Amino acid sequence: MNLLFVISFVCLAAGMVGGGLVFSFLVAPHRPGAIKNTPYECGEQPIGQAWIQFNVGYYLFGLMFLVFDVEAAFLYPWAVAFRQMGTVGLIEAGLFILVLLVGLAYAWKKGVLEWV
Amino acid sequence: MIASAIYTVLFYAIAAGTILLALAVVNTRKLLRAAVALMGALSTTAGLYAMLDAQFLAGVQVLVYVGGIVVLIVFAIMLTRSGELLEDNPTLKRKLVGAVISIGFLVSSVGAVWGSPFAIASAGKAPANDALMIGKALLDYGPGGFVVPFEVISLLLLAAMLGGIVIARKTPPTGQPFTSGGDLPGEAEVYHPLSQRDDETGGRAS
Repeated sequence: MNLLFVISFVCLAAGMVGGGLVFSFLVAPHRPGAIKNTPYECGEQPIGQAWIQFNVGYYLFGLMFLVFDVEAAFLYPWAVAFRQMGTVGLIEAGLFILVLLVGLAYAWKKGVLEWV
Repeated sequence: MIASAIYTVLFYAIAAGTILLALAVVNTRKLLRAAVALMGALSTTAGLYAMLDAQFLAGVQVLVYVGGIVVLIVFAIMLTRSGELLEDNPTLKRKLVGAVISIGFLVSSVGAVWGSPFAIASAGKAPANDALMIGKALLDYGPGGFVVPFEVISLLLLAAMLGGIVIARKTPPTGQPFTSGGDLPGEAEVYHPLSQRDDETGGRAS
């Protein structure tokens, strides 16, 4: 029964995370301080608020990622059915990717891919 | 049957988790917390799909919605001026209109689900390898094939990408890196970590 393996894995994972949290809550001494409440940033001292306004370029990166994410979701069943479909499937998927590459070329030309 | 009992318990646990997370999305005052709760609600929905033997749909749900849409929502939230709705106190009129709209949507969607025959669900077990079936149907150009919608999807994605770029950009000079052109409020206050370290405490509020 595959489902039992999944369930026992989920229970074990949740138990490991939850057990660690509960155990440290019970055992660890609780002495909060101003320094301890600051966000941990790899030893760097945080400056200002965590809430900063992102450059709109990040949103465009996210949008392009989403487009190619959806493309990957559609190419997965194509890859599974590739052996049965053969050359015709290759041409169809190639057309699919080619159309999206036009968008990538447009974004490249317009400087969206330049890192700020 | 112990397996059937476990299955039932698991279904109700996932369904309850979905509802609780969806309530958290609409009830929290902080937009980023709402986005994280939305991520959880979409993940538990993927769990429901997996329980229905629709593994491919569950994978796409995680890949596209949890990994893509929510990331885009988070970027959109971070573009806004403030992520909190603490000052927002909706008036009675707004609450009434919202209630009417949401109840109307509930009634229409329940009606649509109720009226659907769901013949496939009653016909028996799902196909063993659903990604293979979907792939074959997607690439088949005969009757019952979906190759034209498959290619149209790429045009749709292309239109979405071009539309997003055209709306968000402000024609930078050729060769210049992309910025929004400074038209957004707060654009001048873009975070420069090194230039703001002026005192010993790093500017942290005391």
